[in-house]
Parts: sequence; C-alpha cells; structure tokens
Amino acid sequence: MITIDPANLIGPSEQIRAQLAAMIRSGELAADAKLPPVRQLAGDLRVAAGTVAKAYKELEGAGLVRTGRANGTRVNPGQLLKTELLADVRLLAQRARADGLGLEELQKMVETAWNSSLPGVPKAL
Amino acid sequence: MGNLIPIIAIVGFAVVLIVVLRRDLLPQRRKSLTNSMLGAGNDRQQAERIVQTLRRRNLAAVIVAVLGGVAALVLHQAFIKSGGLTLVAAPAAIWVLVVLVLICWPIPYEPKAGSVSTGTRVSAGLIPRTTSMFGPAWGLVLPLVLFTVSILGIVVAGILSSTDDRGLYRQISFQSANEAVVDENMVVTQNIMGVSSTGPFPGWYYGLPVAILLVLGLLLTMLALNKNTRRPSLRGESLVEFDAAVRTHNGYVLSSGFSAFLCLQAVPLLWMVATAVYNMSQRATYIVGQKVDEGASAEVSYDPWQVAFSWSLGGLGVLMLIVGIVLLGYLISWVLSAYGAGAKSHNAQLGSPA
Repeated sequence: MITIDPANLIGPSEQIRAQLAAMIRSGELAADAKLPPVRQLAGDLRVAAGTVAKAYKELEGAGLVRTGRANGTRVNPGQLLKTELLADVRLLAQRARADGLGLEELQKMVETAWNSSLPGVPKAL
Repeated sequence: MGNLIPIIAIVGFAVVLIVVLRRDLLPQRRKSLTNSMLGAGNDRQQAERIVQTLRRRNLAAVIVAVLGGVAALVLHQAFIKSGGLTLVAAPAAIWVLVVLVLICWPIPYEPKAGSVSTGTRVSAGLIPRTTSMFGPAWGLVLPLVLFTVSILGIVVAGILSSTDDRGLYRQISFQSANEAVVDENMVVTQNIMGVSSTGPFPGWYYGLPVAILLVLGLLLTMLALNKNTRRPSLRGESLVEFDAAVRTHNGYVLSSGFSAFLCLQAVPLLWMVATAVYNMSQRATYIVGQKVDEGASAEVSYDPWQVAFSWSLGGLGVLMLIVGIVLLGYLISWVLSAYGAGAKSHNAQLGSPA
C-alpha cells in the first residue's frame, strides 16, 4: 500500500515514485509483480493519471520496472538491494517501534539526518 | 383464455422462484453488506450512504424489470399481428433496461462534500484489480458461453428460415409428401413431394431483434463490470473490506443477472424450434392404390429422429428455464443482501447470534 500526503512538500509524483522504488528495492514488490494500471492507482490516490504515469516513467527510466503494451507495468528482476542497508533499515524500524516512536517521527529524524549529512548521525540514532 | 396463459405462466414462475428462495435451495455464501460496514464516524457514514445507494438502484432496477415485463405484455396485446415478437425478445430487452439503470446510477466513492478535508492522506493498494476478481468464478465464462451459443443458434435458425405470407422470416420450409395424384376412379397413383412450411420459427424476424438486444446487453454488462473494477477505492482504511464487498456484490448481481436473462431468452427460441421440428416430423402420406373417398384421410406417421430432436430441444428449453429461474433466485438473493437479508445466514456461519 502506498500513501500520498498532501501536506508533504514533495510532489505526489515523487512520493509515488519513492515509495514504489523502496518497495522494489526491499523486495516487498517481487520480481515480475504487476503494478496497478495508471488509471486505477491515480483514481485510488485521487491524483491525475499523468502524475502516476510520470512516476512509472521515472521508475522505468531507472530500470526498476518495464512496461509492455499487453502486460502492463511489471517489476524488473534483480532489483533487490543486496547491501546490509536493508537489514539496517529494518533494525532501525524495530528500534523506533521499541522506543515508542511513530513512523512520522522516524521519517522526520531520517530526513533531518539526511539533510544535515553529518557523518555519525545514523550511529546516534 | 389466451390472455390467461401468460398470467398463469407468470404466477407459476413467481411461485417457483419463491420456493427456491424460501427453501434455501441456493448456496448461502453471501456476505451481507451491512456486516461489512466496519469503522466509525465518517467512514461509517460513507458506508451507510453507499449501501443506501445500492438499495435504491437495485430497487429501481427491479421496478424497471417488472415494468419492462408488463410493457412487453401490453405491447403484445396492442400489436397482436407481431406474432409475439415483444414477448420473445422480452428477456433480453429487460436485461438491457436493468443494466442501463445500474450503469446510470453510479456508486459514490467520495464522502459527502465537506466531510473530508483536502489535506487528508490517501492510501492505495498495489494489487491490480481485474473484472474476474469480483463475482463468481463462472462470472465471465458462463454468460459468454451462453451468449455465443445463443448468437450461433440465432444465425443458424435465421439461415434456415423462410418467409410467411406477409414476407416475414418466421417460418421454416421443408420437403413433404402430403399431396397425391389420383386417377379418374379416385385411386392414388403416386405421392407428390412438395414444399411445406411451419412456424413460428425463430428466423430473422425474431432472431435479429433478439441478437441486437443480446449484443447490446453483453456490451453494457461488460461496461458495467469494467466500471465496477475501475471505480476508485474508498478513502478510509477501515473501508477496505467494505469496498471489496461492494464490488463483489455488484459483480455477482451483474454476472448472475446477465446469465439468468440469457437462459430465459433461450427458452422461447428453443420452444419455437422444438414445435417447428415436431410439426416437420409429421408425414401424412397416402398409400398408392388407396381409394380416396369423401372424408378419407392420409395416414399420419412421424419421423422418429425428428421427434426425438424436437423433444430434446423442448427438454433443453425446460432445462434453460430451470437454470434461468435458479440464477434469477441467486440474483434476487444478492440484491436482498444489500437490505440486510444476508445478515442472518452470515452470522449463522460465524456462529454468532443474528
């Protein structure tokens, strides 16, 4: 499931792209899994079809998905992130839950850390 | 007396339908829409609004179907020379009207204006929705098979049909030996092969309007099923199950409804063919050497193969009528589930009090 937050400064297309990319990289969306048609996802998320189409196009440009005329949009195989980062992220999520943090708080913390780009910040988390 | 037959047929039809429904002869796997209404506040209000819409449109569809049936009877009485065309085409025409009501009365997917702020987060699942996901497993296969067979049958019957005295393609011609040559002593010297015709036969006169209505019915049903799939999902996370229940409800109503009316549409056509084939099977042949006195008649014999074929077609018509009634009962059960009628059986399945 993906979510669009209208209050987020990032545009809806980028929110869709980022969440789908994260799902593909983490293996939540398996190889060859079919993504919903552009119109379905756009209708469900209450955004224009062009917004979803743009996100799909960017994912296709990044090699994460492929679009065929009859087959729709499918996840390309071999996109699973094979670094320790995935395990670290899962651990981070577990620790945040254990500490009673909500998803939004954790996201803000990661965002702050990302923006400041200070070495050692992830360790502090 | 002639007017009594359709009334008796309709009453009998209604009695069988009521027995099918009251005796629980249909599988009770429906989940009541009212039982799927979880959540509270705005979500609950939206679910109730959707159920109310479903009830109203289903009721409107039933009223339109009944009015369509009455209109077919009235038109038949008004245009008696039409040879029962309005009655023959009634099932397909009624379904077209019903599905038009269902298409033109959309199910709301947004809460009432003002009850949701523009800044609300929106979520969406990533499973592609397809038409076959909502409705019975036979939801597309059965109506498509019935439709194809019906159209093929109509085309074959149309090709075989011949014109009547008004030039309408509602007869079938066949070779017969119903005439004989007699000599001056009125003794039969030979039988003459001639061309006879019998009817009513579902030729182009009946077949073409029915085929057009069936094609229209198929296109509209596919459009309605497509709209049911494409309709945006509901906003609230507590409405995910309810959203699927509404789509399933619609899928079952459309699939079972179209299948039921296809079966019922086949009944008059099959019975017309069966009657025509039975008439064709009769042979009134004179015996050569027989003296034709005043009042003498030819010996009537029946072609056993044609008799068997006509009875088979008649039996198939009865079978289609039974399947049609059962599917109609199935459709009504689904329609009633929007009124909370399915709550009892669902609760019984779960082992909780109703």
